[in-house]
Amino acid sequence: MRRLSVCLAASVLALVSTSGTALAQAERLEIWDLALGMNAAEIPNRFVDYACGTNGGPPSRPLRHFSDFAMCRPDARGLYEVYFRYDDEQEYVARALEQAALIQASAGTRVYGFPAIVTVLFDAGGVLQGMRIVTDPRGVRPEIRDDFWALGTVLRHHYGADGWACAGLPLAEGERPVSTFLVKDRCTKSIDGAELSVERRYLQRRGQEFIDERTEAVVPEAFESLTSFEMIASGVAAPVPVAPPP
Amino acid sequence: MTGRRTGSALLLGLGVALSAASLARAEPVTAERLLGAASEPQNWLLPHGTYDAHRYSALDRIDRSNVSRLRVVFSLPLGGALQGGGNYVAALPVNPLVADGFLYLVEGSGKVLKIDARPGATTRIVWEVEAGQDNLDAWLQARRGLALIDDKVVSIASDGSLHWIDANSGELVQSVQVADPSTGYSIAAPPLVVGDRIIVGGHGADRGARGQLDALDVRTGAPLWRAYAVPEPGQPGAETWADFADAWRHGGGGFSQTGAYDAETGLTVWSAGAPFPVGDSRFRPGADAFANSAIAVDVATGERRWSFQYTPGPFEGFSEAGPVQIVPTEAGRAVAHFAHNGSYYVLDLETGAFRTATPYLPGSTWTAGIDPATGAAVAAASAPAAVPQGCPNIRSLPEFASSYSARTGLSYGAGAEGCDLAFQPARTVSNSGWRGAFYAGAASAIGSLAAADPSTGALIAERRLDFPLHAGMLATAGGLVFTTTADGTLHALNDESLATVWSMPFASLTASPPITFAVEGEQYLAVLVGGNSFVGALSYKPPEMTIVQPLFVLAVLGLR
Repeated sequence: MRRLSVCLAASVLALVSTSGTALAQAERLEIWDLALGMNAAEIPNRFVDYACGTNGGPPSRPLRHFSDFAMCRPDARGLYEVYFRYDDEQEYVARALEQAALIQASAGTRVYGFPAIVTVLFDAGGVLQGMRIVTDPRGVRPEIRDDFWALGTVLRHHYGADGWACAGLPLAEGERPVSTFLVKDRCTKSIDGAELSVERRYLQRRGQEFIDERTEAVVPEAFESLTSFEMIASGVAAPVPVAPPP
Repeated sequence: MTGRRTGSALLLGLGVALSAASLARAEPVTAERLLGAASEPQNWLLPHGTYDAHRYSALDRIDRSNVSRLRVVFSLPLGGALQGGGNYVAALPVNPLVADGFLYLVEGSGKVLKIDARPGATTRIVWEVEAGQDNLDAWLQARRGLALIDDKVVSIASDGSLHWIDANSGELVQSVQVADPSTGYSIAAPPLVVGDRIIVGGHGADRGARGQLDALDVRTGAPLWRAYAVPEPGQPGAETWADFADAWRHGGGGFSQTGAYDAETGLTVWSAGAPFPVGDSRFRPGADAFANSAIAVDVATGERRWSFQYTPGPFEGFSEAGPVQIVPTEAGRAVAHFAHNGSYYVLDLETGAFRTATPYLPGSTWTAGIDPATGAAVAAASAPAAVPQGCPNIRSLPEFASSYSARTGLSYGAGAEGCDLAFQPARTVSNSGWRGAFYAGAASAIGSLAAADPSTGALIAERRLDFPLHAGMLATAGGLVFTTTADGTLHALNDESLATVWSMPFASLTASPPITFAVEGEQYLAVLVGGNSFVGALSYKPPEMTIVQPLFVLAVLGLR
């Protein structure tokens, strides 16, 4: 893709500073203000709730800043995942002032409007080598979670709609379409300096039924809908396969 | 006025005569009949009644003097109030179609029904078809609409497919996929049949789809052309997408209401909704053409003839996806639109040139003003941070169908007026795409009605009702406009003063505007009671609304 993440950092920061959008909106840093090649210690301390990441899952051990990354357990590639959230001060101010547009723009940690868990991955030297975006189902009503798979489409567009290699993923036992619709695929793409992957799922797993057989009650949350995005610097080695147990 | 009344009476006479003939011969709904739909007031052949989207009926048997004698002639409970995923269904104003004494409608689960509305019918449901839509489908909300052509009923499904159903037998004849739903593509607006083609408005902006219009062969479903709301690089308007992430590819501008059509110019005019995502303009600073715009497309070729953007960028979450009307004015035919931004716009039909914009929402603060020469928002492009006052605000007007009365020469707009102070999604389980129930201060929301003269843009009458309006309008030659309010009341209003002539309480918040039709010379009113996504969790449910329940019932009213 024509945009390299490293270059993205400069362009995004320039955009932030010159954007015609609300200044208050630009003041809050987002994941797009981070880029491969940044050093953990040099990233402004303008996010909140730093913690060790769990492969796109909820936070584990609390940290003070990205620079504490070494307190986390490295993955098979030797990368340290750090969870963080966007600063919510702006949202609080907006709510206090009842400023609808700012509330909407600054509510929670969102990517393209979707609630998301965002993490970054540092190597042992503190250099940012990857980032993850995974839709965040915590506290989200089912009719909102319903669309989570669609973030994957938007993220693919974000890095250029062309050039993705996509393949459907096999259904695990018991997995099936949600009524008439099924999404389970993974797309990958190489851009200048990084490898991208986007996985989308919208399905029902075994045991997930919208009508409880016993009570006949509607079970609105009985489905899986998610997007998982990862960007890893090209030079990072692939994870070492775990040897099967003897 | 007198001349118009005389004309209406003549039309009614002709219509009733045609009705009798149609009942006998069961004439197919030809393209010619659709063109002359206004001359068949006993029917409701098109989504907005006629191609000019007036939602006006020349029937005048029900008038101010006797409307109080309206009673429910028959009612029919419809299914599908709640889907898997927690969505309450049918949040869009998809009204029934009527041909020769039979109603065609979509119930909450997505089933298409043919209803026998003739007097004395012992079995109301002639057939029902479940095509492309399942009960409890969590993603595919039952946002469906219908079109009639020949002896077929064409039904859209939210998964981006069209289904041709034999109107006589209910047999599913053919299905065609318009676009890939895995890209976020969906269909919400009822399609529009014009001549040999059917025009389908693509939706799904909140899933990252790019609004698109598709024309397909009305009989085979073969694709003819596709036009997008949002331009791609190199096309006019692309410069307004000053982004670095190809935001235009998922820029929104979806179509959720059926457009209008003018046979003389060959134009179909549709309204494109908000850019995507609404609350995140960082990746697309600029005006985001042609989201929030009227778009006129040549029906023959798909070529965009003109566009007019009402609201630049994602102001206040405005979505101008509401319907347009093609109306006669002293300066020639025009396109009229009650905008979500609080102004009533009139544009030249042939060129899209701006004529007038009249605020119908006093005190709106989203812009310092509208340039009287161009219609552009004054300072809007450079001052978004200065305007998010959020109050007053017309809520969710885009989906509320407006009407135009040939009797009065006035356009009528309906909405829910309140303050857009904050979004509080946790207070409702209704569809995330609908913000109407999310706003703080909604407890004080009221119904807002406006009647405007398209020739001058002047507001002729205004009316505030105790509860917000969540459906739309119907105007009739009987001197009435009909609408419904959130407390479940059907209102018949004087079409000149908007004063209440009569009202009837129902038990649920309707989502679609009433329609009217006639069988054997008797005029009826059809109301889809309930089926509104707000009902289950109205965040502003005051004590007066405690009876409002998530029903979904077809009610047909007639004079008694």
